[in-house]
Amino acid sequence: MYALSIRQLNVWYDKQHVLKDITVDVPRRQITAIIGPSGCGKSTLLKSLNRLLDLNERVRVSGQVLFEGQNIYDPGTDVTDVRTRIGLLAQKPFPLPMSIFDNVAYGPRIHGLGNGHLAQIVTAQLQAVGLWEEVKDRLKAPATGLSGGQQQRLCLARTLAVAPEVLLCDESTASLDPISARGIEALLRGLREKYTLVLVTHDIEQARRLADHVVFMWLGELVEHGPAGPFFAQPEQKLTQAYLAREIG
Amino acid sequence: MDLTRDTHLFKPAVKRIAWGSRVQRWRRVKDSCARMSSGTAVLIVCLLVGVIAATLVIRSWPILSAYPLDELLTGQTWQPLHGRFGFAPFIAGSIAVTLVAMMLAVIPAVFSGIYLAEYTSSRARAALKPLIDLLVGIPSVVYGLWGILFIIPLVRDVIGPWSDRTLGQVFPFFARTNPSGYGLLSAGFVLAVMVFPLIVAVTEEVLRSAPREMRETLLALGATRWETTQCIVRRAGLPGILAAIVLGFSRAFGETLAIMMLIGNVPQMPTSLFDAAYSLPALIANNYGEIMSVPLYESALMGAALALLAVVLLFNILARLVIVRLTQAQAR
Repeated sequence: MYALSIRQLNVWYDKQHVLKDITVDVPRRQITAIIGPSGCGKSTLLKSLNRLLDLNERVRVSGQVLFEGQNIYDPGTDVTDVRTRIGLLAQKPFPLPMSIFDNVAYGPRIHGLGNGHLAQIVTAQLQAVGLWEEVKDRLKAPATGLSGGQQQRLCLARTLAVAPEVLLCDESTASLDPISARGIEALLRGLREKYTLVLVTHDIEQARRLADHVVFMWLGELVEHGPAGPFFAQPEQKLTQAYLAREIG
Repeated sequence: MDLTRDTHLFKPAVKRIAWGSRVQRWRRVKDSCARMSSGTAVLIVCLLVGVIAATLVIRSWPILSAYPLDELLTGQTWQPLHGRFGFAPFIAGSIAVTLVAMMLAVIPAVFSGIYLAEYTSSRARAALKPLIDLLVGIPSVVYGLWGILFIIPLVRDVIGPWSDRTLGQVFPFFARTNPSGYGLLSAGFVLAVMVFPLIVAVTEEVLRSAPREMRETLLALGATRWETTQCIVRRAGLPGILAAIVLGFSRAFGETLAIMMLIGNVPQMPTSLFDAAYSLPALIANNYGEIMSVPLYESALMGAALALLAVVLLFNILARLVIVRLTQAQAR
């Protein structure tokens, strides 16, 4: 039922307590949107789900994140495996400084997935994100030559090429023009059949359009969460009502 | 807060001072003064390179016009009293000792740089870096002395005999041709220690300046630390690391004192790692100001300095070209 279960998760940056006792479940094969104003800890929460927070030495984490029943913060956890199964689509598209083909092929290559049919994997993923027709004649060209929207679709193809089960999106449309952003949104909506998606957004309308499940954060605390329909129609908390009415934030 | 209502916020606090007034004129004077003085400083530095090169060419002109260039460069005998000035042993000695040093230093230095940049915590780095930087500050005469007291006996009594018994039986390059310990290996070893911190520091700097997103992207794809490092080194760090190596090479090629104390100072073409040799800087430092009554002697030493400058310059230009090509290839 649930792909991820977060239990009493606390995160500190040095002395600053940025996530306070978060307990919430992420349903499988649905889109869960984490919303809230800037600095409320939603990106921190997202990055705690594939242990990308580990990169920052100043971060301290307590509590549990259960992924398919396993706590990913157990000392014995294979972090590489966690990050392979829980992919990330970043806020700003970052094509690796290599060709379009190699960008998608990088993941399958290091995981030894591609043996012999790497080209098929790359083609399939580029088709899945609707980039194939645009780039099929210049697969060897540097990925940095693509437009912002194309780059973000390439990054999505690259993430999907390692066959993750969960996809984390950190405001992945925020740096794109409206048309490209809609394109990415449509792709994400389509991915819900195969993947569990968790996306962070400060755009309430985007959450309304995409989310099956909503988590609302305020100053590091989880205020309210639930299925999107009731959440938007009849939020229970005063704070949520005010935020959705854009009176605060 | 509704900013549009608080119109007083947008009123200029001070009345604008007219352009052309004394205050504004003074600002413009300061601006052009800053431009001119910093421009002059750059010009002086550029001129200095030209002046040094010109001095060397003019002063070495007598010998350059007295002998054909190829005879000077390939000549193997150095007998100023008999009018024979062959630079080949010195050029070969300098290149050989630098190569030995680079062979010993580059790989450990690059790996140390990688370790500092990718694997340590910032606290460990803060403790380790000053230690490595300290190596840069040690005067070369101290390195030379340490070489005489520690490296020479080591090469003479341990490494030399061992190499002679094993590799030396097959490859003449490893045969112990000289029992004193003074020679290419000792000088190269100390030189390696001297350039090591330089390459470490630049490598570390280059890798840490790789974009944070790149590291995040690679790790998020499930790459291990080592795979991430490999990709960053190959795709973002290679030109910088190459520049670090060139810097080390230039530093090593010009090093005088420590080499002079350890290389044996025998003007011969080295054929073995244990051969004594002679370097270009050592030639100049040992002889300048001594028997200047010998015809063309001073000019010949100037020629040696010119050769030194030419090799370093040539190497830097070549490396620059490679770096440019690499940077372009990576952008692709």
